[in-house]
Amino acid sequence: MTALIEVRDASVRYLSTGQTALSSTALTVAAGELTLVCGPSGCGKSTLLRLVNGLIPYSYRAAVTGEVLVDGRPVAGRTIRDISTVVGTMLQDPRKQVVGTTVRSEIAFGPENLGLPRAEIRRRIIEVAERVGISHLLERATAGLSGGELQMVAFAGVLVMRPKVVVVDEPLANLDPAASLRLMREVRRFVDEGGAAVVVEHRVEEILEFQPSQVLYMEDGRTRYQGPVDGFLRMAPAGHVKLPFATLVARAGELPEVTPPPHHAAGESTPRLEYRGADLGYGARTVLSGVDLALGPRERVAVLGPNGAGKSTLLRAAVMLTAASRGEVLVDGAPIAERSILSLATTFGYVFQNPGQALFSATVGQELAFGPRNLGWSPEEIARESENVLRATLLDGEKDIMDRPPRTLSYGQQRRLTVALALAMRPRTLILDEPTAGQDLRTTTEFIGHALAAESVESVYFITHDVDLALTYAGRIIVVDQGRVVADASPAELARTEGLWSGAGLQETSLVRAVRDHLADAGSIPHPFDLARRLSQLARSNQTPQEGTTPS
Amino acid sequence: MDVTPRYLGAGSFLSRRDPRVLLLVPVLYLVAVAGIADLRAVLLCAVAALLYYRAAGIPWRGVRANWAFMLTFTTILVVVNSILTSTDTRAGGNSEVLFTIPVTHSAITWTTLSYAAAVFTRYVTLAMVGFPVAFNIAPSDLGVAFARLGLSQRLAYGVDLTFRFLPSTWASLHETIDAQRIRGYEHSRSRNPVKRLIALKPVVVPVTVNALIDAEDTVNAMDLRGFGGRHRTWMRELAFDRADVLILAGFCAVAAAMVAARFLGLTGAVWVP
Repeated sequence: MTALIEVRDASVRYLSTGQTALSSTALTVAAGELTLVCGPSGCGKSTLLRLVNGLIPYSYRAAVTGEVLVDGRPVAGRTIRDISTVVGTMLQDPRKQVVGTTVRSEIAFGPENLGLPRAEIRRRIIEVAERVGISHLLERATAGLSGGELQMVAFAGVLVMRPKVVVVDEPLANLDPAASLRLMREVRRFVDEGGAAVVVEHRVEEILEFQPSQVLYMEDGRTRYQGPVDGFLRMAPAGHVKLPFATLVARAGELPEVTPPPHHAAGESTPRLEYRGADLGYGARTVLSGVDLALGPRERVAVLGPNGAGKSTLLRAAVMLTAASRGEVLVDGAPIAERSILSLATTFGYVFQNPGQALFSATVGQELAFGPRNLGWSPEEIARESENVLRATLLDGEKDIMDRPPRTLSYGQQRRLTVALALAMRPRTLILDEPTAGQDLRTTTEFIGHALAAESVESVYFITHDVDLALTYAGRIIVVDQGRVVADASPAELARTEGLWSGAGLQETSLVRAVRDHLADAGSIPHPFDLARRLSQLARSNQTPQEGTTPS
Repeated sequence: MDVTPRYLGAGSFLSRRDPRVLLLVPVLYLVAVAGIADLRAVLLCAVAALLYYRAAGIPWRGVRANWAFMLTFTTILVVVNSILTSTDTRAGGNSEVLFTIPVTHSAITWTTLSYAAAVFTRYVTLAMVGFPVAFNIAPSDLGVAFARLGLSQRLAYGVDLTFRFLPSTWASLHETIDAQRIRGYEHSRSRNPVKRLIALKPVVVPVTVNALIDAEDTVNAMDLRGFGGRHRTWMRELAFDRADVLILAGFCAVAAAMVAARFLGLTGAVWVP
């Protein structure tokens, strides 16, 4: 069988930075194969993807050695336009990929560029829209689509060009699990019908459900493993890759020790944030209705739910970025309306998902000083607090950090800096909006660890799509769906609520099943590594299998 | 504020027209009314503009705020330029001073008022023929309309992209303002324009940098779908029908007549009753 993609001993060095992003990498993808490419952030996954779809060297200036063949022909000397008829690319964020104002014009975009006759374009649009189940959306404006709908429209826009291979960049990064997995089911179907797919993703466990033919695991631009899933599960570093819980149990002896973040003992009774029959929204648009909740001053609360369900709206009310049109919101027992946004900054430190939305100063020092200066603090106080928060977020080790332009930091460091910006205003509660979206396990663990361990912070409330993150780090989980709070329970209780996992944009993971099957108490749960060790020891002592699940 | 393009005139006579008609009519109308000082001639053109606007079927409720802004802005402009400063007095005839503006001491004559009315009518009617461009062309038709008018494929699709990304850029702006507000950012109340501009930095810098980063991804996504080739099919077919031709011919005739009248010196002077 002719390989659709062949990468032979390829190395890539970006000319702009001089950095070698890929070294001596090989990859062969044939029809009917689904290849999973994984590895920590900065390992070269995106560079490999750009090499395959032709963006390197056509859009990125880079020195490439080795050979890349697409559909049996070298990419050198071919145009991106030519390669695009063989390789279709799904970007991580469909909002940047979708360029048409309506769904119909979006799907037509590729065939129009190829200069196909109108009749053929119309025929293809109908065919592909029926295939991915979006016929009812054809006349809708793309600006009004949900995240899940947008992703399916973007995929239709790729399929309509009839590629032989699709490359999918982090399909789970931006959307709720249910929406992302709908896309993955379509990718699998494409492969089953004779196509090929290369999927780049950190969250390995979810992709394993779709039975990849091979896994390419990379670190520092080099291939560390290439082969079938079984071998990968035996070698993958558990601290870097999110593996199925059954694999953690099987490899319990190798799992790294984890230090649970310190937890403040509960004691005070006045809720930090309380909603009394609150309707929350923006202007005349109500997003959440009839919210009755009390979040404690020393709690760790995770908010789960599908895209657009109202998770962010719920917690934005804490800093008055949204207001209650009915009912009321109270902070430390007093109506929030009596407070100003600035005074709330010393109660709640709100960290937005995209660090780029906060960073504007020439140096990290100036960036850190912006909030405290607005609070009227003295330069000495600001300098002292800046040093403290850089230490708390482990950024103090970076050379000349205070004089560095914030945007020259790596993405992970920028995220930690945004936590530092919030901490610099000495909040008692930290609110994190999608703290780990699109980040690898090690970065996630580091980031959430720093946030939870911050000395002055009594409580942390965080919004996430990552069910396992919520189970691992929260003491209480709130699920929001279709404008209402549909569940409010401890992680263990939530894992046992079976009806919940088929709706609310959630996806049951192997950790959920393990908690349900093996933890009897209803409180918070141990770190997955500790739970895996515990179950492994129990299995050895009982000589009976004690795994939560087995990988498919 | 919703910045999503509003297709308010959907289903009306004008929205059924070839979008190129809606783009060409304002140009022809501008040619017709430019430089006309005679109120009677402007009012004659205004009849055509009013009929055209009526055919657009734009619901009043949908554009009430736009008209309020337009009329306020135009009134201020006309009052300042034509009445307070009395810039144009190109007329003979009746120059009797009706009254004097107290502070500026501008003498108001029939000539001044007639000229101000002509300018005001010109601006308002230009808005009448311009509104259908915003509210009667389906957003997905704009790119192809410009392309068929001779604009390059890239520029024409750029128009489409502007409308596509306007709502998300607006959302990004609001998200950035929110992110900075919780750090104590407030709009500057200073009267010094330089200080006001500098105070915008916490919002302008992140929005601009993020837009540039996002634009790079979008350009890559477009390249990966074959954009930029010499030949491109526009799925939307455009063809002038009889009504389109009649409308264009009508406005061409108005433009030609007004240009001719101007050259003959019939409309250059301010009409004084």
